[in-house]
Amino acid sequence: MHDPSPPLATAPVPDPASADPAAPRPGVLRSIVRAHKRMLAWVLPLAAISEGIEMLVPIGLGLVIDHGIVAGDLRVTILGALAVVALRLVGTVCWILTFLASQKACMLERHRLRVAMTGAVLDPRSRGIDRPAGEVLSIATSDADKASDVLDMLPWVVPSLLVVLGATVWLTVLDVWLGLAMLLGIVVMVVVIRVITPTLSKRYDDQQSQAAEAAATATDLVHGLRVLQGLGVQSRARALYRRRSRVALEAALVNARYSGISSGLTTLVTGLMLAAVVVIAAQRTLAGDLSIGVLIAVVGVARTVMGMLQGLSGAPVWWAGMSTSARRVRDLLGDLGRTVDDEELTLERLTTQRDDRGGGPGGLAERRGAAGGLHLDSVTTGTLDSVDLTVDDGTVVAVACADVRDADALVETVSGRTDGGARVGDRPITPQERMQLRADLLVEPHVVDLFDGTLREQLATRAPDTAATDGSDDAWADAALHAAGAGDLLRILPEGYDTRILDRGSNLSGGQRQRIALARSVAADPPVLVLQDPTTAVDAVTEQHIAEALVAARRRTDRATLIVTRAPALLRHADRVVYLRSGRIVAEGDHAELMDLEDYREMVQR
Amino acid sequence: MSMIDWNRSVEEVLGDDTTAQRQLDEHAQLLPIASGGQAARFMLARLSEHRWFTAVTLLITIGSAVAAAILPRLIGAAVGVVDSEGTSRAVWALGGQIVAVGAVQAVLMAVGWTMISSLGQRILAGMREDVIDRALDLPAQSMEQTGIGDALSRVADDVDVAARAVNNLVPNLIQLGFLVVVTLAGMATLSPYLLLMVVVIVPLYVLAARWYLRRTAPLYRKERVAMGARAQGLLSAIHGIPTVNAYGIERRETRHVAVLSETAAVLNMRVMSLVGKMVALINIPESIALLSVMVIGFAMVHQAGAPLGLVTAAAIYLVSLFWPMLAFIFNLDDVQSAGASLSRMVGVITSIDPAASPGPQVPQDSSIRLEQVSHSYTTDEDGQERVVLHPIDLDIAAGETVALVGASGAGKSTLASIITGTLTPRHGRVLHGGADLARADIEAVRSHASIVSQDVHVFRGTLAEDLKLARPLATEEELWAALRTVEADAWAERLPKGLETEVGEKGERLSAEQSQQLALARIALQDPAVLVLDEATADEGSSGARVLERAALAVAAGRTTVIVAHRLSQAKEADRILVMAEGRVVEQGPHEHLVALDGVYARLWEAWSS
Repeated sequence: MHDPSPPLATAPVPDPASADPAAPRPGVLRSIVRAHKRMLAWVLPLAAISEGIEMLVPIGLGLVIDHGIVAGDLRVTILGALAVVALRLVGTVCWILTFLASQKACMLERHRLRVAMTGAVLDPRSRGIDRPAGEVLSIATSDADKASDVLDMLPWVVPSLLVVLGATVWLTVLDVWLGLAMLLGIVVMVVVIRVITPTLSKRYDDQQSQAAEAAATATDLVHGLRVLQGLGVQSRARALYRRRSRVALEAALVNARYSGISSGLTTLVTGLMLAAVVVIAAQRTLAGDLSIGVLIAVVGVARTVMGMLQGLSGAPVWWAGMSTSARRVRDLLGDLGRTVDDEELTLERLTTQRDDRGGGPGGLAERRGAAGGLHLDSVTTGTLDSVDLTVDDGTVVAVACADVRDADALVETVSGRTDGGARVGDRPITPQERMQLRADLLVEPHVVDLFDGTLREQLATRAPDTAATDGSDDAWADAALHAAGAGDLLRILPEGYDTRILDRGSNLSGGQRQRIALARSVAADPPVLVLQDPTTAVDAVTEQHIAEALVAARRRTDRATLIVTRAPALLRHADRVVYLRSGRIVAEGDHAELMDLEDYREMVQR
Repeated sequence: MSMIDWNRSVEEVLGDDTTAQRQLDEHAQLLPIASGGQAARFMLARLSEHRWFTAVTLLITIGSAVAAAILPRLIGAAVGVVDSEGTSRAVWALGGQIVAVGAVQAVLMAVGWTMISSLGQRILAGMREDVIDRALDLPAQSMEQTGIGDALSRVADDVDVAARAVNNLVPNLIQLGFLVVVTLAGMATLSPYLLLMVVVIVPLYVLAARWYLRRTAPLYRKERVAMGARAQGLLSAIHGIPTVNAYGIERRETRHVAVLSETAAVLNMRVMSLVGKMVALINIPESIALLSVMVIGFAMVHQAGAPLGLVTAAAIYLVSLFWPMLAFIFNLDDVQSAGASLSRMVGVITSIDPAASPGPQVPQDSSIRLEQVSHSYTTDEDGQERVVLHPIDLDIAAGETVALVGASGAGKSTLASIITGTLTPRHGRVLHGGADLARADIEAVRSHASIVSQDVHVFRGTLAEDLKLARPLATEEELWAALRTVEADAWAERLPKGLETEVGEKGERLSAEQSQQLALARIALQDPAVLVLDEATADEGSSGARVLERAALAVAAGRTTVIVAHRLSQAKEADRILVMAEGRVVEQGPHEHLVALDGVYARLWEAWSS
């Protein structure tokens, strides 16, 4: 498990959060291109060669027909044909080389951007952002992909344009009228494309969003399936989906019409252009200005140019999409207080570093000793009003808050998101120190989040390395489950500890999820553990079991535990109960004593 | 500077990330997949529903391909005119013909494209509606089958994949296919030697295409799984940022995403290098064709005395085919993956029967009766049922409130689901108002009994749309009345656009309590005679908890109610309490009675209240 890779520096980076948000943010496209400029330096010329050869093939064939077949020279015919084949081979080799190089670069960039954004979002030192997870996901996947496409696009668009220009020049040199016809064709094509493409892409976007809407409705209904079935409104959900699906269909049909018209129009322009070139070139040949071979070559070149133009016609839209995506990537990173070329976010660092919780990289080698308990020295953050609280090693203290805002403020303070005057031993809990403190302090978030993994892996999330994660000795896991009143899970789950728990625990009930999270925090065995309402999703009977087992598991001489709760069972088993109202401590003692207070009794027995 | 080692195997890339390994190889298929034959038959059946449209589409597509294939011949004819020192008039005439044929081709192409795409979209719309139709009736209530929910959401993705394909790919591919066939046929009619050449190179193309597709299909499949897992990993890490930071596992989660991202990249690169090899391979038949056209052309002109225009036409035919052929093969890739999506959809549609009413019985009142009901979700190795609910008889009078008390796993939720009819028990009968659920009208029972479960879900769309799921024709006044009943009117009014505010995953995010209130408001609108409350309790001490409690009481008023009690304070108010342990009812009666009994419940109460 241990590796010599550099640890995640726990000291804050030169405070990215304070970076001026209005400061110019480095461009993502530029960063991508700069990272691969050496590749582009040899790929672009090579690509130009391969595109140029594509244009030379019809010319070559024309020459072979002229000097071989028309002249009746079999040797020239065969040698000429072989030369054309060889030329194409060179073109193919160039194409494959450029294709593979640009694809590699493109995929590397996609990967790099994606991982950098993931690392930046999850890094506790990044500035917090308030964006829906779905949006971050789509930026880190589809926008990262699209922005990186610039490496796919450049090696193709730039040479194609050059070759099209070159072909036009050649035709003009042959005959002014031919060149003019070609130019006219290009202009008409561009106009047609410029007129159609915007309408078309609007239609397309519209259809895509309607289709996405229908697909999202489908997913949404399936996710809410239990709720729908509970209500017995399947038929209404069905009708709702059918409506969305029909709206999407209507949009798709309109789009189909426009796509059809667009493909028809480009075909028409190609046809007209071809006719013009054929007529002009044939007339010139009849007049003796051109040879038959050149006539054939001209027709072939015209066709190829029109083909390339059709491909190039998509480029402006592609480019627009690309720069939008690049901007989105840049803005997300900017909001996080990071930049695309952040040294902390290089692939190498992000893919080799191990987590450091303040106890050194690679996990917690062995059981941590006492940390000196948890202390609050006249804390006045949020709604709290000079709260003094001490949780010594060896004790389990419960805090009952009449107002939930007091509970939130308390947990906020000990988790170190604000500097509120809380300490672990002598070490203050501050935003700067919170990373180093993680080896000794665990504040279990109240909202349960489980990640894909077996039950054993869930429990081992932060367990010391002494806990066997290979299944050879599950005593530690048994103990954690027992402390969380979750022993019954082993009977229920089909494969016991090896049962796969899906993301967010979606194959478990709310109560099961909450107990697994609780067991996970017990298995982590932190010197100081803070829990907030750990039993809200379980029934009264199970709550009793948990209260007894949890307190027993945590009441060790070198462990301190703070439970913020109003559950009578937990309060009764705690060594001491602190009663908070209106931000102040109004009473302290054991549960039985406090039950004499009328408002306390009412609060816990609701 | 490359930082991805493209030559590493997937296993090497995955390394010690066991979760990623599992995500990539397990990939449990919970849903039926149709075989290729089944899927083809299904599609033919759907196509035959649009028989005439299909036939016309086919004709038009062939027409446009024929027009396209005539063009090279006209060009060849123009060369022929020049070669034979023809007149300028003749050239103009051919130019006119090219314009005419080009115009016909353009029109047919536009119409054909539109028709193919429309046909595909119509069939697809029907299919996706059928898929969701079936999905909505799958039993989702039981824990063992929750995986199905995830599997079904994958079907929603499949619909998306198929839709994209139908948009562009299918019309393009069908037109390309016809173009290739008609052009080859056109070439073969020029000279029997050219026919011979076609016969030689076509198999080479087919071989190359098969070689390519066989290798890419599994790569694409695996890449798609990796991309799915990548998205899932990223999403769950973002959702769980507080946990990630509290446990200090940000590097682990980042690496997990990175490993999957790199896997997808490596797999994709393998496809790309196959593309490169494929292009190189295709060069062989292309070169053979080029060489032979020149040599055959020489022979045609000098031995058979054929006009030069013919040779030109052949050369143009050939060169104009290179690109469509390659495009055709590459497009087949996407067709393959769209086909995989399609067979999953067909699998769902054909193997799951649409829900039907088992009988005509209709509940007469809101009483409930259970006769010898027992249940097990699974059987063990010996085929013995793993009983979670032992046989139980139960009568609940109309309007009675019953509370279920017991530890986790005692069978409370199972019993609650059976009572509402969302779970069919293995044994015994469930009667609602005299109607046996096994013989009852399905819609009547569905609107008769509702359950509010622990899963809260806010549906996409506006707040009004969410509520209207329960009563589609509700007036605005009725919606507000329902919100008032659950005391949600205050915050609903404060929403930026009131009832028209977008909620759900894309819109305004509602708190857990608000979502729960919404669930109760839906019940108020749905107005069922029987209500089962199996909700998670709100966070203790939150101001919302009391509101929710009041809301639940208000909504339950006047209904036969079964409450899965999480707090004894809830149980205390019930007319009757059932204490459950290990799938059995061990005590039952009103609160005072049970306290006096001095049994399990009495001990619980003692611990709770002192």
